[in-house]
Amino acid sequence: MGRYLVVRAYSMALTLLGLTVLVFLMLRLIPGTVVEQMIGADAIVSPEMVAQLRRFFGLDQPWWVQYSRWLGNLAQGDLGTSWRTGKPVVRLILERLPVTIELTLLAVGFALALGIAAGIVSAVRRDRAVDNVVRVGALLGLSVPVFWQGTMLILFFSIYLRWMPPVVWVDLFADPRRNLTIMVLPALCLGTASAANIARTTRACMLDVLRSEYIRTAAAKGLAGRAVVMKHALKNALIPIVTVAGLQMGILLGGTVVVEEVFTLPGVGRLVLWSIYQRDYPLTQSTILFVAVLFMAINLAVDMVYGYLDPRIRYGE
Amino acid sequence: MRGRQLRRVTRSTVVVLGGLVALVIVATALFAGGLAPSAPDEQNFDLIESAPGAKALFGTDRFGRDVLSRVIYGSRISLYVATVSIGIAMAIGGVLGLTAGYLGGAWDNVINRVMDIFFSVPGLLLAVGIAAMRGPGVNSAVVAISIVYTPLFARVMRGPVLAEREKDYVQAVRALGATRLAVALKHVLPNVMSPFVVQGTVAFSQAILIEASLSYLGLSAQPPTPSWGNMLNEGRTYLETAPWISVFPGIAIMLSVLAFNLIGDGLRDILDPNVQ
Repeated sequence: MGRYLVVRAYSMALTLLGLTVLVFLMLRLIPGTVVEQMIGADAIVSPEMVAQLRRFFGLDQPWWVQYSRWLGNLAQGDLGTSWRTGKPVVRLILERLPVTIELTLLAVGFALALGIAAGIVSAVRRDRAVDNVVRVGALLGLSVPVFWQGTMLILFFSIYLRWMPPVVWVDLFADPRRNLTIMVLPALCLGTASAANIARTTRACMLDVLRSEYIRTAAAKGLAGRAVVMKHALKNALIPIVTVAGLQMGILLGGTVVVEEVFTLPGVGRLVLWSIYQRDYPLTQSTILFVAVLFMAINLAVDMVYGYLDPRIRYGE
Repeated sequence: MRGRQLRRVTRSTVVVLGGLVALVIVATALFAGGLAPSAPDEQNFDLIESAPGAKALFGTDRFGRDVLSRVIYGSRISLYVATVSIGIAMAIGGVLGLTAGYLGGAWDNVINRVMDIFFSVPGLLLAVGIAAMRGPGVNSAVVAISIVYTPLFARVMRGPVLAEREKDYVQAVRALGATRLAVALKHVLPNVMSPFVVQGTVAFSQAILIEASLSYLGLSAQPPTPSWGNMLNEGRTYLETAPWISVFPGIAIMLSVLAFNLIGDGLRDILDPNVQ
C-alpha cells in the first residue's frame, strides 16, 4: 500500500506540473489582459500608463519568467494575490470553499440515498411496475439539464407553492436551518443525474449478485428476504457502487460551477468563472489547480476505499 | 458492424425508439425553415408574452417572438455543436488512442501523461473554463467540448487496441509483411470500433447538455441567435409572467439527450463485449 501511495503521489505531482503549464499557457493565449480589463475599452489612458500597469503586474516579462515565478511561489505554498481584489488567493478560495464542499456533499448524500434505494428496489422487483418506473426515471434524470431543473423547481416552489428560499447567503454555522433552506434546491438539482447513475449501477450490480449461488444458499437456509438483500447481496455489490459514487463526486464538483451560477451561491465555481472574465491570472490559475488537487484526492480516496471493501484488491503487491 | 449485430440493433426497441426521436430532432433542425411558423427573430408586438394558444403554439417571448420557431431553430445550434465537437474529439482522440495503443513505448507514455492532465479537472469546469477564456461564441463551445472529450476517446480507443495488438492474427499479418499502418487501420481498427461508437453516442448526448449549459452561462451562441440554453437564460427573468419561455426549450434539451442516451444504452447492450 505504501509503495502504491508513493507511485500515485509521484504521478499526481507530474500531472499537476503539466496542468500548471497548460492553464498558464491557455490564459496567455486569450486576447486581452487584466490591464485592458481595468482601463476599459473607451478609456483614454496614455501608453506610459499602460506600460506602467503591465510592469506592475509583471506582464512585461517573457512568459517563462512569469511561469517560473508562479511555480516558485507555488512551491513555497504561496498561491499568489488576486489582481482584481488585492486579496491572497488562498483566502478567497477558503472563503468560498465551504459553500462548494457543502453543496457537493449534500448532492452526493442525496444521490447515494435515492440512487441506492431505487437501485435495490428496482433489482429486487425486476420487470415489475416499480422497476420500470425506476429505469425510466433514471434515464430522465440523466437527461435533464441541471439549470433547467433548477429553474423549474424555483418556478414550482415560488409560483405554485408560494415558497421561496432565502436569497441572501447565510453560512451553515451561523444559521444552519436557513442555510439548509437555501441549499436544498441546488443540492437536489446537482445530485439528480448522479442519483440516476448510482441507481443504474446499483440495479445492475444487485441483479448480478442476486443470481449468485451464495445468495440462493442464504435464501435456502431460511434467511429473511430483507437480510439476504441487505447483508449479503448489497455488501458484495458495493464495490462498483462506491466507484461510481466516487467518480460522481468529482463530476459533481465540476457541476457546481453551473449550479452556483443558477442559484447565485458564493462558491469556488463562480469564483473561477469571475476570475476568467476579469483576466485575473493568479486567481484563475491557482483556483483551477486547487480544484484539480481536490478532484485527484477524491479519486485517490475512492481507490483506497476499494481496498477496504474488497480485501482481494491489494495495491503494489 | 457485422450483419448479426446490425440485425440486433434494428430489433432493439430502445435503439429504435431513441433513433426515431433523434431522427425527428435532426429533421427538425435540417428543415427548420419550412417547419417553423415564423422566422426566429420576427417580432410581433401584438403578441408580447402571449401564453401558448392557437396563435402561438408554444407562446411568445417578451419581444413577441414565437417560442416554437425559436425552439425549432435552436435545435440547429445544439446539433451543430454536438456533431462538430464530438466528430473532432472522436477523430483526434481515435488517432491518439490508436497510435498510443498500437505503437506503445514513449509515445504511449506521452499521450497518457497529457490525457491525465486533462482528466485532472472536472469535465464541465474544464469546458466552462475554456469557453470563458476564448470568449463567448459557438466556436468556443465547439473547441471546449472537443478538448474535454478528446482524452476520453483516446482512452476508449487505446484500451482495446492494447489487447488486440497482442492477438495471434495481428502477429500473423505482421509476419506476412504488412506495414504497421496497414495492420492498425485494416485489421486492428475494425475490431475495436464497437465500444468507440457506443461512447460516441453517449458523448453526443452529453455534448448537447454541455452546449446548453454553456449557452445558459452566455458562453456559446449569443442572442438574438436562438439556442436552447440562451432561451432558458432569457426566460429566467420572466418566470412568473411567462414560464413557457423557459419550459419548452428545457423539454427540447431533455428529449434530445434522452433520445441519444437511449441509442447509446441500446448500442452498449448489443455491441460492447464487456456487457454481453
